[in-house]
Amino acid sequence: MAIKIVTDSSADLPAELAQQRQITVLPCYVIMDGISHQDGVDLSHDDFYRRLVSMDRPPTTAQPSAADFQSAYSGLLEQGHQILSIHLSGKLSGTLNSAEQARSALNAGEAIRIIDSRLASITLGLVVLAAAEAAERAGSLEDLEGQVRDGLPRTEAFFLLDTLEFLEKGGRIGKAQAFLGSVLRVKPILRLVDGEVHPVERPRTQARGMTRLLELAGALGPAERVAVIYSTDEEGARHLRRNLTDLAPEEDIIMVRFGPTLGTYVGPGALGIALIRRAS
Amino acid sequence: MTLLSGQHLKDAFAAAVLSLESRRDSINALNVFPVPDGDTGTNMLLTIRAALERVEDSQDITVAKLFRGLADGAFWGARGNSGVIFSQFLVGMAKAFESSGACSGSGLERAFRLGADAAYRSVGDPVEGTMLTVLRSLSPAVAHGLEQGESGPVALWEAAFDASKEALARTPQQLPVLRQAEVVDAGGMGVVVILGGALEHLTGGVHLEVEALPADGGPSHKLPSGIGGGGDGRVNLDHLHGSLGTAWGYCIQFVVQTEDNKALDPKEIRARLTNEGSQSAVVAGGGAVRVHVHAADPAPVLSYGSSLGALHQIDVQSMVHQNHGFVADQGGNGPIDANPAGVAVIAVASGEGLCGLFLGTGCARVVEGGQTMNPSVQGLLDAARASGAKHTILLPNNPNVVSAARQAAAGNPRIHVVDSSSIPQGVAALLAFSPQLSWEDNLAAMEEALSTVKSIEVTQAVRAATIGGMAVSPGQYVALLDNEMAAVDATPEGALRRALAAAGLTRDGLVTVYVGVEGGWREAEDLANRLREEMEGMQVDVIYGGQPHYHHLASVE
Repeated sequence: MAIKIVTDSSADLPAELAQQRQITVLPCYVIMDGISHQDGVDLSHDDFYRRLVSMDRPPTTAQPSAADFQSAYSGLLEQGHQILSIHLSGKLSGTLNSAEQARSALNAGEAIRIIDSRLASITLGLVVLAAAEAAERAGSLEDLEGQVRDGLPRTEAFFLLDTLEFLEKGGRIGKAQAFLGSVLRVKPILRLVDGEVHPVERPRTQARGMTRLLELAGALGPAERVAVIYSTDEEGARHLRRNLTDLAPEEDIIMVRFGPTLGTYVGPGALGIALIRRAS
Repeated sequence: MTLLSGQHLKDAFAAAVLSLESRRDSINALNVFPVPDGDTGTNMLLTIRAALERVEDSQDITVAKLFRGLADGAFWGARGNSGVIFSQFLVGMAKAFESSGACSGSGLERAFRLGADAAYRSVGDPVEGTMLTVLRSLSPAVAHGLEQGESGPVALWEAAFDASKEALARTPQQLPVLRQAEVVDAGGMGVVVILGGALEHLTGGVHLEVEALPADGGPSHKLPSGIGGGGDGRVNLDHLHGSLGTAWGYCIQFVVQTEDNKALDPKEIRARLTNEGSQSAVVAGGGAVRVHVHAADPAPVLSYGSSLGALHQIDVQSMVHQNHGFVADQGGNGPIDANPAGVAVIAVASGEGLCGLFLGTGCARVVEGGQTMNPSVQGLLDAARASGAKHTILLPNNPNVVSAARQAAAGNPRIHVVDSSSIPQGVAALLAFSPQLSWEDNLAAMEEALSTVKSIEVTQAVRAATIGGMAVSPGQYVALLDNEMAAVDATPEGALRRALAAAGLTRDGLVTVYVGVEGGWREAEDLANRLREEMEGMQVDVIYGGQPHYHHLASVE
């Protein structure tokens, strides 16, 4: 019997890394041209971005269903495991509802704990990785849950978008619209605050945006875990990784991609830095 | 009477214009689709007025000539989607009447039919429950009358009018957005008013049900029962406020004329623009094409338009701007919530593009003004008060406005001024603004941003002078760099180019050109392309500013 970690594909964890740590990743759904795909299962990153830029109607996304959760949970329970399920911010998605529904349907009592991370993308991914490592040493599910919750305030993420187009098309721009506009084609820097996306700055060129991204994240170092994320600009991500030595040595910084779920909203050319600060 | 003469129909059309004139505001108040910007009545009125002007002077006109003139006038004068659609309705009618001296009952049926066909074809993505549906209801009603043995065009016109009212009453069932707002379609109402106004004249002023339609300011601001979903003519405010969160982008209108008067294919243009914008109407006539499109970004639309030919009557309006104005008139609150720190930015600018840019980039309000039109101190104080924020930061954006701004701030500790002396400086300062920060931090960040940008202003010399050691003759274009004379040239783009060189360009730099109302869009794009080639890596953005006086404004940073 062990404690197993469950998350969803919005955590942008690479499959091999998830496998290594025995993390169960439930794929979110991405609907393109009326056809439903499972993020990471039957839709590759490259295919997704190639199609994204040429589509008339933007894709839409949907959380894993309660049934998806139920089958993942019951498989782990049957093997005698306990489950810590850590997910995308409830303010951005209904994933937690599916998870809660599955838990009550299974009547699993204390064997399943669910956490609203109030995070998205690889920031959530870093928390999930830390949880998977801690799970091996944790005394109980309750302890592990407490440990993970305590670590959440130390997370930080900044994203630099090349275009607002996809955030806008996906209806996720919200109140930031009045601030970000569309005339000047700014490359907005966004930050996750309390489960929501907030605009931080509005550089007008990619180069200046990258400089500011490095300054904003660099000021928070040194960090316990750091990740660099990109949708299509691998070279840009490498540049970020090389220049984040205030946070962590280059080889310790993981480099990942926005999967189709987040990619639907950040679009091509997006970059990001996620980190967990060291506990003081 | 079995035939209507051209003169008779012309007078009826004039009566229709009057009828629409008196109900314009009521129709504006209904406008919720495609964008609740409250301008349908105005747009339709401007369109049919332009149509009438084309034929006003002609006497004893044939029906063929009358409709050819009306269609032509409406085409050139069309405003808004509703105007474009109605102009095409007239074009279709003109085609039906091509060789008619007078109008018969069967001629009327054919004219309404071809008119509706043309109207449908002009829209990229026809939507039912709009004025299209109302236009389509006319010819079947006339056909039905003919089958019943009625051949008098006036009686048949009345049958069409009745059918239009029924079609209008059904629009809320067809279009959910109307049902939510508890209104009938504004454009459809316009059609009913036009038909009714004409009918009133044709029947010799006989009392008809037209008066059941609300006239502005009249005692009955209510829609007749069976027409208005909710009863009173006003729009459900919840719906309007809900609409404010949505990004509407820009309303872009222009006419393209090819140099050699080569015919353009409206279908092809429409297909291309439907990809760019959510709503488009494209119509052709007399070697030119009129385009009306709603798009998130006007630049690619204008750029595409100018690749087809010369652009005339360019009109770009921020629908966020229009929309907010409309909501305010309806008695709603201002659009922008006081931000967390209670700081609002108010900019002074002129030109639809620039006003939209400031409003769409975080300004709570824009006060119209600039080089030749300085806003009053009172105007700035009113705007500060109207913003509802605890602290306001003013961006004067012109040396002549700085003193008025300072005066507004003097003695008022909650009004602050960032001394922006040009539009580019104002834009740079605004981009440094953050709603999360206190007014002190914002003021510091915005002031610091002023020095990051060099400003260029290009205008035409009206008289001979020697400025800054340069001789200028009238008609030549001068470019100022940070308010100092920098270049003289025969073209605005030439002057701009020299000033840009004087400012110093770098590969990691950013150049922004704001094209004025008199500026050449295509020429600015050409210049931008050349600069991008010469300075690989440099970002050059061309934006429609629509400002008067300055052909181009530009920034280098």
